[in-house]
Amino acid sequence: MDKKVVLSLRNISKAYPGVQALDDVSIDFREGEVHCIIGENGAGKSTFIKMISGANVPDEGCIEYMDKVYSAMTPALSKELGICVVYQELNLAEDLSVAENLYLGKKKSRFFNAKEFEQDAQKVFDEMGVYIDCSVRVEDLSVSYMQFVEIAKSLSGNGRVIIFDEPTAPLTEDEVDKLLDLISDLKKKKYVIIYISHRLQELFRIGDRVTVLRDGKKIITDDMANVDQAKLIAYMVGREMSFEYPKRQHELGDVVLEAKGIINSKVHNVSFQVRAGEILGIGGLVGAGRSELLRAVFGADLRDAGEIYLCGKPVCINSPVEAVRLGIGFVTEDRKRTGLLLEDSIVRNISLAILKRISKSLVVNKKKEKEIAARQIGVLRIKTPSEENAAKSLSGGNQQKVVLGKWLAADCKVIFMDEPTRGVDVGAKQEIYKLMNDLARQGIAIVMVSSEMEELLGMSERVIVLHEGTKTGELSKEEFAQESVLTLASGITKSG
Amino acid sequence: MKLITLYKKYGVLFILLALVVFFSFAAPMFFSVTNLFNISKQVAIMAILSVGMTFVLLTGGIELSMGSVISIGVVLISKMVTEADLPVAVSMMAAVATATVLGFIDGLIIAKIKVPPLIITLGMQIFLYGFTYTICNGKPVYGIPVSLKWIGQTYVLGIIPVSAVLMLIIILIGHFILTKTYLGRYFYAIGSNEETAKLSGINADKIRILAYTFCGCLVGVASIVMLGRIGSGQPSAGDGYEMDVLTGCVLGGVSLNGGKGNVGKAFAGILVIGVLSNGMALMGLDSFAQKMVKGVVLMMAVILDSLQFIEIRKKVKVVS
Repeated sequence: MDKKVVLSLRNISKAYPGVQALDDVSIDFREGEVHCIIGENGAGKSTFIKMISGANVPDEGCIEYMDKVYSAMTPALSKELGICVVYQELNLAEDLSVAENLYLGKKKSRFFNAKEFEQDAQKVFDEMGVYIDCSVRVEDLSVSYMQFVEIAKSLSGNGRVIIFDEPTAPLTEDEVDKLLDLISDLKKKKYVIIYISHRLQELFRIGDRVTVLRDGKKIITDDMANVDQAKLIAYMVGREMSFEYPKRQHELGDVVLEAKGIINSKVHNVSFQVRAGEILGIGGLVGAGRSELLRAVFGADLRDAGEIYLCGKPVCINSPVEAVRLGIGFVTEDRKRTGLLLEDSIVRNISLAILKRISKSLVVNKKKEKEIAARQIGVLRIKTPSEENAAKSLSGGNQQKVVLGKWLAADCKVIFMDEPTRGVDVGAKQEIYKLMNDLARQGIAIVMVSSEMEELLGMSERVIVLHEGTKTGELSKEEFAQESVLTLASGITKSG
Repeated sequence: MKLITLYKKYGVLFILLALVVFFSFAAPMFFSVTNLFNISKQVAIMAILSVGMTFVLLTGGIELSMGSVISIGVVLISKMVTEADLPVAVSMMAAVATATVLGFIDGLIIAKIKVPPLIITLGMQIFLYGFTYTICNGKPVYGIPVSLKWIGQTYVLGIIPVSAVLMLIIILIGHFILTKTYLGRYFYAIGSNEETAKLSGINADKIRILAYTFCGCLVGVASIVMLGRIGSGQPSAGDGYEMDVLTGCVLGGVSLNGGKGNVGKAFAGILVIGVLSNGMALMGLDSFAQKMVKGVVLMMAVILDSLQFIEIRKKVKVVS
């Protein structure tokens, strides 16, 4: 039964500033097995892939491959050794044909011979049992066929290890079946398959063994036969609530914002409402459409359908211009790219959304602008020697406060916060939580997206959970449990 | 890299000073009151254009059809006055209106269809060039009334050219818009980070269209000054102006990447170009040699503009 170990990670650790992404992780991968890796957002799955693909180097530990020990991988080395990653965002030259993609960058012959390429490529696909015309341009293929091309790319070389990163997310059910069949086939041909997916059901269909990661640590590696969904979810969570979340005890007001049936390419018929003084959490895994939902309501992304009501009245929000005018603010996920004017002063960042309001016939009232900024700097306790300092000179937490200040200055009734504490240190985190509570107490409605389970459950009054663009459930404070959020986030609905 | 920071702050002024000193020795005629006002007259048109160009550059765009818009303005006014017998004021207004509308169209296409501004304004330039030569059959329009030449050829207090006064007024207005009004602040905001600006409720498309429209309007004004100066409806009147203006603006520190610069510095850059052209002419350099120098200056300006970003890129590397 015990098959030969082809690839193994030995005591791999990797730290990024502020996070221990991988902590002494050792995993063996055997010939002809499908090894599933699961874990919550931030558990260390992508760092793990990067270690094997050579996109990043470990701080400690080594990688053993075919009885040779390497201190780290490089992209070239891992390719040479036959390790390939099929990423969710496919890595294909869409303008080229299937055959050309297969042999891109692989020196085959001195001259380009389309016929020869196509014949060789056809052989690879025949072996895979996939029917595909190798002269077709990749951009004309469906996503699932693009994936097959990506897989064929690794098979056409000396591929031995194939890592799948969320391969089924963009596929339809039929296509998923096809892909899983193919993977079982590859398994028989003694490839090592590393399979990463949020969809637990799939794992049980093809997985031989499973490794659960949590906070960069390996929790367990076990045969698939020994576990079930509930067990896996328990392994994935089981995190201690590490610090106290400030409590709120005020009464909630009326419904301020209601979104009904929001539909676009990333969000499928999602509705939610939030009351004055309430913090509504939106949970789900990365890529579940949480930010996209906020962007759609805010008018930053197109909506195909959906109604929005503000204080009970239907409103028309086709662009952020209207959203801001109606008193909705948006603290985005990436403050550097979408929240701040980094080169500009703190004052100018805070006044950005209200410039027009504090202008009299075009001329900005600079005195008022300064007063408003000074007030926000005081209220939010933004630490800076001068309000004229550039936003980029501030720490992450203070930058986040500046973004928040922009929306407070605009007297927002509703504030969307997408990962409000991402990349801020622990002290600033506590401060931001306190501020959020203060705002809620003042009757502001907050909609918060968070990938941190503790934060989501610690701060929210109520949580809705998304899975692949669909709302899979809603939890009230009494129903809060990490397991139930994760179950919903994995697409397992309450009814079954 | 400190050199670049220093250059960003005072570089243009150093260059200007160096050129003035150099030409004062190399061309004895250069440092005379008459010549200095001569330069201001030559510079006036470029400086007016530079205000429009700065607006557009700040939003992250570029406008390369200025020269041919001037040409069409010049020919249009001449035609209306001499052939249609329309009043001078009406013709002038028509030219400004035409230029404004052309700017608006550029802006509309760039903002709404997201066409690269470089290409669309270049296309506009080529089209207008052909159009202008077509409506005047390739021949200059003569017989311009004296009243039209007033702006280009009259002096206030006998010594300050009217065009220079107009230039100063426009620079001041431009400066006012950029530093005092929210529109100016919006130009900077969408140029430095459009996504942030949009998510802060700024209608980026509208602001961008406005920048091109303002710019067009100023090009229209510049065409009136141009006609006054050359005194006839030359279809080649504006040839190549956009490049001189662009060189001046970038030299003055208005970034091609948007969000950085101001009209004062752009003006300093324009002065460099003006002094350079004037000095080279006084020294007797032929037009081909002048072109070589101007080309090198444009390349230098753009290289220096891009160098500051290389610096930023290096910084990011260290952090991550």
